[in-house]
Amino acid sequence: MTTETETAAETQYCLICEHGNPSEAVLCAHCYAPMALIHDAIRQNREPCIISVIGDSNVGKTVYLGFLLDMLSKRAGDFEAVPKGAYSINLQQTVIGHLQRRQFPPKTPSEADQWHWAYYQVARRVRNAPWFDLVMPDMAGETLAAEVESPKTHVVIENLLSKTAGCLVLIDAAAAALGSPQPDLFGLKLMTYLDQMFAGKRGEKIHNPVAVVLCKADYCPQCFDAPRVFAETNLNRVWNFCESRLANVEFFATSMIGSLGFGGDEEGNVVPIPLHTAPRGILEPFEWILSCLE
Amino acid sequence: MDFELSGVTVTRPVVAPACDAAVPCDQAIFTSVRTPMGEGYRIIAASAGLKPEEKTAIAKQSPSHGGLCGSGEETKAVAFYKLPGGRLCAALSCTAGKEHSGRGGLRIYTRAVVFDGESFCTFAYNPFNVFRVMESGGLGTPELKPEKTPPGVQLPTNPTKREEETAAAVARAGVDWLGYILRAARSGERLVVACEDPPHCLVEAVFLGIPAPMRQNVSLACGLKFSIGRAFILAGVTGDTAATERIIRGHPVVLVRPNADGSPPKFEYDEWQRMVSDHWTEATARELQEFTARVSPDCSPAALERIAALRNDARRVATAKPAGLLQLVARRLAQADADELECNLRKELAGTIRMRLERIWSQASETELTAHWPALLALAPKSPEAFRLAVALIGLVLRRLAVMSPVAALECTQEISHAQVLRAINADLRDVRAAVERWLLQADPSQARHVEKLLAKRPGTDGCTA
Repeated sequence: MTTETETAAETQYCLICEHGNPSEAVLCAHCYAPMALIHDAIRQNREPCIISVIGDSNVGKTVYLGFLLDMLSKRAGDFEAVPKGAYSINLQQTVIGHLQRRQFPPKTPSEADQWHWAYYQVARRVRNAPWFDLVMPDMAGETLAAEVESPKTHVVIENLLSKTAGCLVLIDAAAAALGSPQPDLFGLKLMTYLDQMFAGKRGEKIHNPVAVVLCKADYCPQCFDAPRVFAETNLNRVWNFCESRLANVEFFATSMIGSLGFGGDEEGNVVPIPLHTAPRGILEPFEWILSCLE
Repeated sequence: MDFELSGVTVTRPVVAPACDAAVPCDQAIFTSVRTPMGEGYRIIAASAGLKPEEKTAIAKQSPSHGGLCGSGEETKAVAFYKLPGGRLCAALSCTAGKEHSGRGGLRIYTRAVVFDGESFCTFAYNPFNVFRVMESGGLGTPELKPEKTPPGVQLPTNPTKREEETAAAVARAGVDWLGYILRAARSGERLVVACEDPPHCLVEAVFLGIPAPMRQNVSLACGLKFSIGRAFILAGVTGDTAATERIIRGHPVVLVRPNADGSPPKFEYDEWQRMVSDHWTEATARELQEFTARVSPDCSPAALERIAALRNDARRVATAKPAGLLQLVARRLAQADADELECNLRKELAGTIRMRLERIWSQASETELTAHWPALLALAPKSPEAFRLAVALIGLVLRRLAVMSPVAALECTQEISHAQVLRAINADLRDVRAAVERWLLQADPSQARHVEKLLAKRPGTDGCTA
């Protein structure tokens, strides 16, 4: 009996996949999520609320999430945000640091144990506003794509999305505006995957809030005026799916980079250079999701 | 990836085809390019024979952005693992210019070849031979605009191995450390081996110490940054290990630094470990590779212990003394053969011992020859192999004694009671009696009476009298 109690005390269950890990583990052995999340969650004594940011490779997930966290920690939009643990700062530090040097942050590796995770406590700065414990990983687009193509390949994504309270789906509006079907098709794949993850009773719509974030909207400013119209026109497959299956969906336009220069490297690749940042529409999707969850 | 070294799941080694045979392989390319299907790291080309689950496994095991140890353009890595369904995958990773999205860093390019487990023997059960033929065949060179469905490749099976590099790696790490790593790999423990130099030679040396039929279950990687999601049994890494130490905390993965950690933790050497360590010490990697490739599918610890013990004894024969050699015969040749390899090893051991004793006894004195006579006679009933050896050696001793001291030879023959031995050495007995009779012609009468009594003492040898 004593042994069982001791073993139970030494085992900690991952917040994402509920796999038992030894107390000294830094990463979950099953899904590779940081065990610091569980330590922080235990301290809060509240069920954490997972908000996922998903999208194709190179759509801008890292920059969006980095900016969002940075703005929250600066009390933008009248939010009070408290990062839990130094690891929660790493992503915004990477994004802000690189953009300040006029570089985009490095690609997020496909290996889940290399991802940045952020754990924030967020509340509106009004009396008696509820606090949310937000867990937000910066996932690699490639890993998402691989999981969407062959579900159950990456347990971390499967478990994370099945526990997600609200989701931000990032779609490249600039590419869509230029007529590329890729953002619409990949967006549709993500939506069908979410549909499987959130699926309730047959025929019932999904009630988890999903914000469709049209990224790089500075290339197609009409996005800001009427994101719904833009989505219906340029991302018609996604639009139709959302209408059919999602009860809580909203469309937002966003852009992070104010002006972009272009250079080239010695191999002929076009290298975009962020000349200055002008975040627009970053907080709104997040704010909308929180209002749905309140 | 499940790992089982108990000996029940291994594949039967098959006879290797001729060296100029080519092995048909499927291939896949995993890298980051912009394609109509999207961008980022993914399989951009795969031959038609690859199954979806194989492609998924390759994508999971292949490195993405920043996944190689080292940041230089010359950085390379290799990996070997079993795919779902049982086929084997050997993958070469390298850099292929700058990351195309302009977000900094180098693009990582991986080419994987997939072949049947039965073809593994044509590469001498050594994935590094596959990597070498891939390199020499140009498969290590990045191809960023391949056909979406390229044809499979035919890999030649005659790689050039640089023995001296392996020997140097063994010398740098030390035999004790290699033994420790081998023990862990054989038992299926996950190990990260951190080296100052590229770890390929060291990992190859360890890998070749594993019995061949077990090797396809031992996944390995060299030069890939450690990731807990890539479940390699043996992962050789270079550079800073702080991140690895952090990741593996609390998990059944052991990080070792042969060049920096002093001596390895104490562990018990079994016969197999001893055999491999001896080969490493003597820098006879090729001999070791040839031997480990002969091991039968019964790779249970007991079978390996028996096989290695026979091999170790065969290697000790060259320096052993007659008493020790006869004890060896009594110990090893008395056991029943479990399989063909054991049978062959016993025959080889018997042959080596016979040659060694023949060499020693061809120059031995009468005292030395008669000193081991009882032990020699006791060998015959032990086993058929021991009987054959004993008969040969008894004949040799008798012939030598017949020349040096016919009476001593005759006295020795009196001690033989084993009927089959007597029958087998009939000719030698005749020679002894002839020598004794020649001796009697010139012997002193008092001595002659004693010898004549001896001659008459064994009616069972009547037929041998001249």
